[in-house]
Amino acid sequence: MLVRLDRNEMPIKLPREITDPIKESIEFLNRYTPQSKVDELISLLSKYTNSPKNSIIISSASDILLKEFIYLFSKNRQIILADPSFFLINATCRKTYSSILKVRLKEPEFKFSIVPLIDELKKPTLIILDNPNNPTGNIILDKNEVKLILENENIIFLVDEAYFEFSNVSYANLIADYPNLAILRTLSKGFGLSGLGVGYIIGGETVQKRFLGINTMLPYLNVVAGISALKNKNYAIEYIKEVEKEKNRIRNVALKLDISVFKSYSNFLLMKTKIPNISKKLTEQGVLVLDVSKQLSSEYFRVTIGTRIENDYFLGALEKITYQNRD
Amino acid sequence: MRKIGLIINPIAGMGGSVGLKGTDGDIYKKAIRMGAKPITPDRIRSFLSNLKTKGKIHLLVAPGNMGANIVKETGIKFEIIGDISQETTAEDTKKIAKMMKQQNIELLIFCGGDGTARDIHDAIGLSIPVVAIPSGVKMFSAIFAINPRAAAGIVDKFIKETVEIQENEVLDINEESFREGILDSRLYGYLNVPKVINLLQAGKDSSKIGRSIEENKHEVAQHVIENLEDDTLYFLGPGTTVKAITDQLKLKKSLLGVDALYNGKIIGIDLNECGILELLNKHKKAKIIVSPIGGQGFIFGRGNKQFTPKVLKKIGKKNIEIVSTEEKIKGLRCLMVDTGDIKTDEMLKGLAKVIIGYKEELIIEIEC
Repeated sequence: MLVRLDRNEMPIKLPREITDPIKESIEFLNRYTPQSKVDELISLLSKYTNSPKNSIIISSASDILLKEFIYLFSKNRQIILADPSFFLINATCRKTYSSILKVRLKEPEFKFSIVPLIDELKKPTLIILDNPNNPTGNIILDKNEVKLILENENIIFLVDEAYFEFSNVSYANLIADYPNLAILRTLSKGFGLSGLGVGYIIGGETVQKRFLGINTMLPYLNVVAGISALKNKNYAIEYIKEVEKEKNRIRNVALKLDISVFKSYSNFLLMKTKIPNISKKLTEQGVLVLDVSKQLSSEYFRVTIGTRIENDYFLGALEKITYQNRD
Repeated sequence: MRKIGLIINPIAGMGGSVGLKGTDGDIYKKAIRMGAKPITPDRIRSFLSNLKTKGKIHLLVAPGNMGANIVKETGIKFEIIGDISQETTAEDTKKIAKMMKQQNIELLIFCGGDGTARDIHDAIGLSIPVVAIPSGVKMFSAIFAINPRAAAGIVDKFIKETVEIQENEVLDINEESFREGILDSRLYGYLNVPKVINLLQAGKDSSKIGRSIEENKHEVAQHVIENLEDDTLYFLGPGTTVKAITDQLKLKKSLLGVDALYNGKIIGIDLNECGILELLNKHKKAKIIVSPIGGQGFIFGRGNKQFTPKVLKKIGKKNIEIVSTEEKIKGLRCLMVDTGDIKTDEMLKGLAKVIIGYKEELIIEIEC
């Protein structure tokens, strides 16, 4: 048996209300996606996020938007990131010619602070922070600090809210006051559309202007899936509730095994053991978790909340490894 | 069959149980008088019983209680190399290690502590990678496996796949001071160890994106070189990350000492406090470039005692540049200082920028 808990996917199958329209749309794949369907998706996202339609920029997968954003806004700006953060943010920023300044998030709170950055923020800067943070799962940003950062017009601020559906914490409503703010979201996590990918940005005026005229075509299937998901949110709501329940259950078992479990506002948990190369040991037991040894150290790992059966299997493996390593 | 050597320091770790903090020199005799029992046999048994690739290894072992006596109990086939004296010494370790090197071993496994690591370093340097089974009282060097089972895992991985080799630090702890409760360490050298990277995993969240440690050092050095200021004296601390700077400048630097760089030339090698202060009196602008030493992230107080409180106060916190590879600094909550002077430690405390790549810096706290 192999249990895959390394990619923060929704572990249950999508309901028929989502998959049926996708199946039906397959016969139209010889055509470009009708604009009316794209407009419908934008309207639904606008309603869902409570943001104006013109602030929504959509793409297939938020990864693409993240890269586009970095290329559009990094020129002549230094980049400020949290350490650790989502690996793709780091990897993409390194491909630019900008200087990078990272701020270490200190365990166990893993909070981002602008205190060490007061002088730095006077320079033209692109800040990219994932909130909740990946791999820690924590909310690292305080609203007042976000506002303080945004007061400076030299700054472009991208907040990656990929896990918003689990955290329910968003700064999207600040875009009306701050043209230099952008919020990055996805339907891959809370709505479980990982295999298709619908990403979107809710952007302030400066961001909207920069993206104007470079919209890329969205695959028809992705648009149909996005529309269906937003029209049938109940499955996502149920899934998120289940994640919360299972998260608490896993946390309690892990704590009994003397494993540190960090606070999480997402569909995954960051854990710290006393066992080196823990990810590898879990793999040997048939459980794939995310190896975060390159960012933290090999005693840490990130595990996605799976189905109850998958989680039981994971906990069994964790218990076995813990007992084997007691000496 | 893969040719692998095994050397055991039979007295390593014996001082620990009787509170002697080590068995360097003749202290082990005192340990025996105090009732200390050898601990290496159990460590080796645990190591060998966990080793899965026994069938693929041609094991060369040291004679008697430095290897053969314990290995023969386990039924594993082996070949004895050299001969040793009745009461084994550091010289025996060095002699056998050199003989094994001549036999073209691919990997040297040894069981001991910091002292044994220094002997192995003296004998083979960086020529052969090592796996160190921890058994000493003092194991401050960054080369030891977590436990014998982990050491077996590293050897298995070395046999089964291609693993990256990295230079890790061997520290020299002054055992006399250590017995007095003072941790006085200096960087003794480096040994090559297999870097056991975790398996895994295709897919979106792959953490394999990154750069090798050598590439990372190169980037850090490039960044430092581009920002070197004219008419400024730079004191370069020990370690390979700092040495990468002079390597790129095609200058010679002592690996373990503090050297001085001024306008593109090395003007002082392996300086002590006096040498540093003398140069400081002759130059208006001076900076220090240091890298964290060891696993806990110490930037001063471990391995670079030449930077005394007097030197650090004179140079000032704002003139200290810290460089590090990401590998070394990942997962650290903070950097540490322990200069032996509380006021100097206080001065150094607070936030610091660390150069971790080309045009890449990390803000992290310094604590003491």
